[in-house]
Amino acid sequence: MAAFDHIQSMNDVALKARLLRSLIKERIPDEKQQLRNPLELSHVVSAIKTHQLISERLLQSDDDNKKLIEKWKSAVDSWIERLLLLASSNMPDKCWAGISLLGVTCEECSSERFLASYSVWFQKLLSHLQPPAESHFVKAACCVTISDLLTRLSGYPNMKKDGTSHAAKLVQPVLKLMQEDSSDAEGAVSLLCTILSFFPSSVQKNYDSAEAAIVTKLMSGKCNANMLKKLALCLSLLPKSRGDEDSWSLMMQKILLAINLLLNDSFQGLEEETTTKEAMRALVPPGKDPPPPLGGLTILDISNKATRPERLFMPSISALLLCCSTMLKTSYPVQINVPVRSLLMLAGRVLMVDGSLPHTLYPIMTAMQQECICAELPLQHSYSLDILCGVVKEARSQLFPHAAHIIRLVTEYFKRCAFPELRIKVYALVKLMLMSMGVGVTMYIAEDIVSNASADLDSVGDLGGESSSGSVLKTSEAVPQPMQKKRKHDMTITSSGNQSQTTSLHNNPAPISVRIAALEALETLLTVGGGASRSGGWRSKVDVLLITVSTDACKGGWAKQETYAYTLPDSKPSWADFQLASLRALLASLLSPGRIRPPYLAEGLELFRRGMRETGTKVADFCAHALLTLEVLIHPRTLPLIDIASSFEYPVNGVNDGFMGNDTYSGAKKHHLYSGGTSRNGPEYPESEEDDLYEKWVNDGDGSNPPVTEQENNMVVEKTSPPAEPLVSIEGPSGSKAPEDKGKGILVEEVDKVSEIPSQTDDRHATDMETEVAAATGGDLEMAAGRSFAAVSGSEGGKELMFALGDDDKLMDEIPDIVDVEPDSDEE
Amino acid sequence: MEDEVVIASSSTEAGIGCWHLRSGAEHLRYRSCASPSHGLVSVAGRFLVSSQLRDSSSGSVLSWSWNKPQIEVKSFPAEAINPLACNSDGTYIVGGGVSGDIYLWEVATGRLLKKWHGHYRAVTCLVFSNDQSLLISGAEDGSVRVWSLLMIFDEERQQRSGHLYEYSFSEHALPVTDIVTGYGGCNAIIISASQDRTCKVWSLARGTLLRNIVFPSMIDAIALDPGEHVFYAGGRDGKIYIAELNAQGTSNNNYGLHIIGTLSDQGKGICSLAFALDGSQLVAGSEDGMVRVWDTKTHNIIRVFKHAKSICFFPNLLVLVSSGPVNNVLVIRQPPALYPRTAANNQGSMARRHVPLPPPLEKYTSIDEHSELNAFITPQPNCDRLYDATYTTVHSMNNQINELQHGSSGASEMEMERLKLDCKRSMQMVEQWKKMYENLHQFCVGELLNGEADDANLTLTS
Repeated sequence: MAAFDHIQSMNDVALKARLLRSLIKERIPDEKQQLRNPLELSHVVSAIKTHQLISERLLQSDDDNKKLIEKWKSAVDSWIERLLLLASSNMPDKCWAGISLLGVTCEECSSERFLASYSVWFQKLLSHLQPPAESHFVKAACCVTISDLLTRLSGYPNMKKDGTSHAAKLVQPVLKLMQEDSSDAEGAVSLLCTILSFFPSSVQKNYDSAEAAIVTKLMSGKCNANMLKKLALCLSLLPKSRGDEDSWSLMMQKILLAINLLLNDSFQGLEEETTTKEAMRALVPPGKDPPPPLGGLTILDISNKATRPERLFMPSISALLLCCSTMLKTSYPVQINVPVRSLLMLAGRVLMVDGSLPHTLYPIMTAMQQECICAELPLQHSYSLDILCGVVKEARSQLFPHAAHIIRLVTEYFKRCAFPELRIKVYALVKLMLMSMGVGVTMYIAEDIVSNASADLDSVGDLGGESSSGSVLKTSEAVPQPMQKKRKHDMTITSSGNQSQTTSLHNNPAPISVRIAALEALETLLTVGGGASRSGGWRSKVDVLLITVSTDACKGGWAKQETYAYTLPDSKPSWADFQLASLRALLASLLSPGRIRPPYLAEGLELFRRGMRETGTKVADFCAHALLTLEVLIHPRTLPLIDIASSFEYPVNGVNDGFMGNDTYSGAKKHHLYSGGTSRNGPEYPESEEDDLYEKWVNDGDGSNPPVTEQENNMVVEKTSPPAEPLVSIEGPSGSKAPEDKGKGILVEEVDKVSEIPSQTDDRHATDMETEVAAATGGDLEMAAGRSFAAVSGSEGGKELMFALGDDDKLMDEIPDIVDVEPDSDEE
Repeated sequence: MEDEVVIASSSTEAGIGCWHLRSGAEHLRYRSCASPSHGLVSVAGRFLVSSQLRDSSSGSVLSWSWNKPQIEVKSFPAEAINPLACNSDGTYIVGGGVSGDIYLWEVATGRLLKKWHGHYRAVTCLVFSNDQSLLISGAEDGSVRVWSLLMIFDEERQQRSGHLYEYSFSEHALPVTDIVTGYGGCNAIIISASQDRTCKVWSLARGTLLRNIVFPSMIDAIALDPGEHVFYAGGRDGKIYIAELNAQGTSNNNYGLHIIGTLSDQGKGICSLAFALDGSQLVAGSEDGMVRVWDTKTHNIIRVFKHAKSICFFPNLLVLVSSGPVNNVLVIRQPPALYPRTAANNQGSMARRHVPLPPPLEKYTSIDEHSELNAFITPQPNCDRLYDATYTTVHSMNNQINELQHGSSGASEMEMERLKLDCKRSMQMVEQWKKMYENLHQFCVGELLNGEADDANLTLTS
């Protein structure tokens, strides 16, 4: 080659052939040469990947340089020749290098070349597995390379048959390798996974032996976590090889039975006898034959204390639970039939055991046994939660018949769950449930989510007396005080004036990851059910909580995200993630439609504006998005259908939740929850409703809605002051009771907002908005009024207004709740 | 753009018509169906189900698979069923009986999961809310009720709350004729139409009446614009009224407050309305047996389908029998089974594999406390499989190189193996050299001796 035969640029095809040649010459060992430094190989691989040296793909359509292509082709030929030579070398290091590079070739080479020569490569590789090679390195590399070869092969739909017949040859040697006790097994398991996922039918003949091998390995207690995951995946993919619905169900049934049998032994004395019996009856209904034992291991084998040391029970259970959840996650080509109830029972059974011994019974287990069980329980709980997640995710709408069961389980478990990892999982599960089952679920679990999340997010509550001054949430939430506005005021003062809080936040016992999970759950709750009619009780609480948390999170400046990212591959969530999560939740709280304008809009906007300046971070990206979204809220494009004026049962500043919550959500009065709005007349007086139906209609026709308002007023009375008589609650709220300055403050704020709305501010609209303001304030006042049992004076004013407006039909129609309106004169 | 089909049925036995929306070509006509209003549903695009008017004593619900005109499955519920609804997953079918009972069946097994008394008189319409967790029903007694599926299945909570429904709206004075729900989970609106010539807009979040709109005519069908700025109400006078939702009401027209216009072609009464997926084509089924497609932007009719059945009495005379009112129209994505056989697309060929329809709906429930309620998970077509194939050689190779660099048992074992072999080879080498040396030695000695002898001989001879 001429010394001055230069190439054009780094894109030139000529370069590839030349580069490849020199790689072969200089870096790849041959017959005589030693493999000097294994690091050289990784240089070779990176060169091949960057320059696509063996892809034989032309960038431009340069047909003219046929010669170059030929050159390249011959270079690749010699590359492969060299690799095959290396792979047959009896020096283990050379052999290893050849096999590994062959794997890279399988991934990188052109389709034509691959299809033409893969079977040769396969034979070569197979010869190292059968009989197995001496070196572990060679065996491991061989497994990985074959796995890549099969992966590539699976990309060609018309090669299915060939692939299957090739893969079938592998099954026996792989199963044999798996039984070995060394690191070889790991590679073999991965290979089995690949075979099962791409060419499942090749395992069909060896189905039972494969099942036995997997299960034996799984239960041996000698696998690391990674290996367990792979084994579980193998087991869950195994039914695919038969490819019918029954084999999946059978496998699931076998696993469930095996777990429950093991649990019977392990949890003896920790749970009640009835649970055991019930679980078994649900799995094997009386009169039916139990399925054949899992992996051919009879029940005696599994739970035989003589042959299997007792301490292996718990890890086996965990492994099998993992299989259960993996089976739910894996996709199947046919419709499968998931035994939801058995799975829920199993998860419930595990989750309800916390290792405590029942007091009444004479302890039938030693302290050692208990210790052994408790050590493994968190893992089992975690897997059980995975199972629940899997069920919720897969069954989706079919879960409705079981939803109540799950909800009860989750609310119960939420109380007991203390481990951070587990709490994160519960939050994730709750999130899934909210997403998949919609609004219906929110009213069932909203209270639980909110109370748990606020406990986790309550930055100072857990610290006790450690920093008494910094208790943001304590001041705002601890004792329900009658003066709501004042408390809000307090809060802003403390949060702005106290600098020690940031540090106290960092010392918080609830780890950041848990708090992020809690924030995410709240975000989902607001997204799915924020505006639901029954959200009044928790909604205001969440709004306060979120603005507090995000203000605190972002007070100490913005965390740099990338600082440690490269040092720790699977690093824990950072402070920046927490900031992001809190801002996300805050956005949801601002956007989710509530009864009133979002009370903390200004604070929120300020946070987002500040965050947006941190360009280049995720926080900034999100803040920009948040500001864009909020723009619609600030400048509504259309008039709302929902009249905000009718929202008088919502506390204006939203902090008197304790009061509201206690009243509306106490167990005894539960039905109030479901009787919002018009249905007040539903259950108790079904007849009367029918009677005045016509009058109602007529009334509707001319615009006002007396029935509605009447009912709503009744409701308010019931909610605010149970002992008060309905008579007291005449339409208008009491103007004379106006608490000094706060109402006005709100009024001013609201009016400002009105003027912000650019278009459509004709007279009527303005009236409308003012009405809304007055009513909103009035609602607040009414609460106070209701409690102090004197609310009559406002009524005349209300009526007056009604008459004043009553002559205009159109207007009346738009303000259905007109009777609640308080005359403006009262306010000023 | 995805292909859509219009499906229509009427109250007389004209079958179910099925047309391609864009081309207007008619697909199969599914035979012998006389459906009540709201009695036709497509179960998640998998097959068609319709309740029937005929049997007055006991109900009848029929199903058709897409590629056969004949009835495939017949079910006979305990009473006549009027409206049917199906959730978007296609897991449940809900039917409303003439007695006011509501039935909930599981599609996969046909089991009657729940039955409850919903209304005092016959149920007329059933709709699932946008997030599929609520069911909204309307009845002849004028009431509109909202049910939470969760509550329906949770007996414990039912006992505590005393009633099943979430809301019960009873402002309509006459039978409810149609219900639609809008976008959004809990903040959605419900619009109900009634024979009392009103449409009422309800808030799902608060359970209150938001707006009451009085129309000049009875409204039998409504369709909500996907953007929810207007809704369309089909009247018995043949006009489709356009009522606005989020603008300030003005009554500067002849129709009444909130009504801003009409779509009209002097036809007969409108019995059913449906929007195409693009949100601008409105499909209207009419009393005269026609299905008209309106463009809501231009207010023009862009297509007319004849649902009327043509019956051939004589070999050369085609008699057009006027069909009954088209009281059901649906617009759905074209099911894969309806793609022509010649199409080379994968979609069509996949659907060719005949999937049998699920079993008929049960008459009485067979569910007891021990029966296992399983979930059926249908396989998802995983189109991304080719793209996320992962290759692991490079990763594992780098790991192994790492091990070699830093030394590990595997690496040292390989090293040892190599050294052993090296050693063996060296030994062989040594042996070889020894041998060579030996040979050379012998040779030299021989040479030497021979040479000496020769020399001696030479000297001797010389």
